[in-house]
Amino acid sequence: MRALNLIECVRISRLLRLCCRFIVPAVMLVGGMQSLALAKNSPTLRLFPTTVVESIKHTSETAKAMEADLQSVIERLNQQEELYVASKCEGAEAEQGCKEITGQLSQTYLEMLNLMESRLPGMENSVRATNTSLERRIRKELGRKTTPRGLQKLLEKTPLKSSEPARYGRRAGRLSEKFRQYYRLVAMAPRTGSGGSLAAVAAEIYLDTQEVQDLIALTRDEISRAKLMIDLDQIYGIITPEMFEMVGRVKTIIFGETGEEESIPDPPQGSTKADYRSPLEM
Amino acid sequence: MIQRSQKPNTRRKEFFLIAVLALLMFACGNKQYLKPTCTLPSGVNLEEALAHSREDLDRLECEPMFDSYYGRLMDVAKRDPDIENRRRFSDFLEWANDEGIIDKIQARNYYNRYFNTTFMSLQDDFNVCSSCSEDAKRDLEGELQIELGQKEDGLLRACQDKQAYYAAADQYNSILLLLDATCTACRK
Repeated sequence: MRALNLIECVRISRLLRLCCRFIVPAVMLVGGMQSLALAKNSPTLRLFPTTVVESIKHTSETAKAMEADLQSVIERLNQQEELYVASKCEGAEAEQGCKEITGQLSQTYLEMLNLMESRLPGMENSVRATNTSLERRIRKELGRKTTPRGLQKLLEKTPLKSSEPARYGRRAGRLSEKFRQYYRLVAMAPRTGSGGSLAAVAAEIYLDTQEVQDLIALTRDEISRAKLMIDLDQIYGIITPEMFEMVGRVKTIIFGETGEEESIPDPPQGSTKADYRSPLEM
Repeated sequence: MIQRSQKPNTRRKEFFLIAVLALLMFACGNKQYLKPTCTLPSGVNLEEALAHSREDLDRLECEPMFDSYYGRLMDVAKRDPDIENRRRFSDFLEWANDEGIIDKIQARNYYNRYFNTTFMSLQDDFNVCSSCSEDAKRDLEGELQIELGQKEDGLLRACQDKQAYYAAADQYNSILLLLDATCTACRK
């Protein structure tokens, strides 16, 4: 049990590294490509002005700094995990050598949590800034300048789907996955034209940043609780299942459900109109 | 003598009156029986159902039942699916408009709700922020969902145009996303 839980700790670190690796390039590409696409295709809908792009860039830089900070700690965690497995500590936690490895793993994990804790306020500020600037643009461009029918006109070039899309529903998920999909969408936008899709991307990023702010606050809480549990472990030398449930919760909060394909609007591929056009068509 | 001769006259008058009344009653009864009825179309052939509906709706007394006729025609079309059905319905609605049974706005509404990806539930008069109160947004989302069902009937079931229906369903999702984000921003 203890061995499994420790391995889970290391898995968290791997996931975190993966997350950071995807966030950084994705956010940068989103910022750059979206402004490119906007300039080419949506002259009237200014959802991604320089301030918003700058804000997204800043979020990417903050994430990059967090990754750089965590890299050495994560490497150490990996090495300790390998040592734990090589020493066949699984099922032999009472052995003196294994106890030491476990203690080292706990310490490194604590270090990682400390680093995350110190970086999260910066991330929070950056995400809040992105959220605020996008909120202003959406309110102005989509809320005040556009009618409900106008919203659909923005989406007129929605691609033809070969299967029925899932019903709308916002889900929690990995940030990296979401940003990777934004990148895919935006990277195609300059070739195909997608004012409507950009509006949908803006909406998605805005709602995400809203959610991320809450998640960061929750993560900070969970990190404090996890640290407390590690401290208790140092005192009593026992890792209880409750402690690792908490680690699991941190993992869920930071990375969300894995393996789920998040649904975001696709880039346009062509007109949806069939050959026949009724004189009554709107 | 005079009194005697007056009695048969009175009887004759009474018989005459009764006969007239009986004739009138019989005539009324016959008229009710002959009154033409409005029978909603049925079957599995849309062309026949459309012809039947045109015939019925040509009569003044059937006109108020246009909505029921349209609903029944959709049912028939679902049992007789064909990509040409959108043209058939368009022609039928144009005919109904030309005959003065429905106006142009109604005709467009009937057509686009079932056979086009455009959502008629989305108004074009006021900005999005004005539709962002809790009640207004909930009502709009409900109307959009109903309309997506109508598009499923028209595009998918009656015309078997999967691509158009999936595009409508996809736009429905995107509209909900845009509404969600825009209304959140408008409320702040």
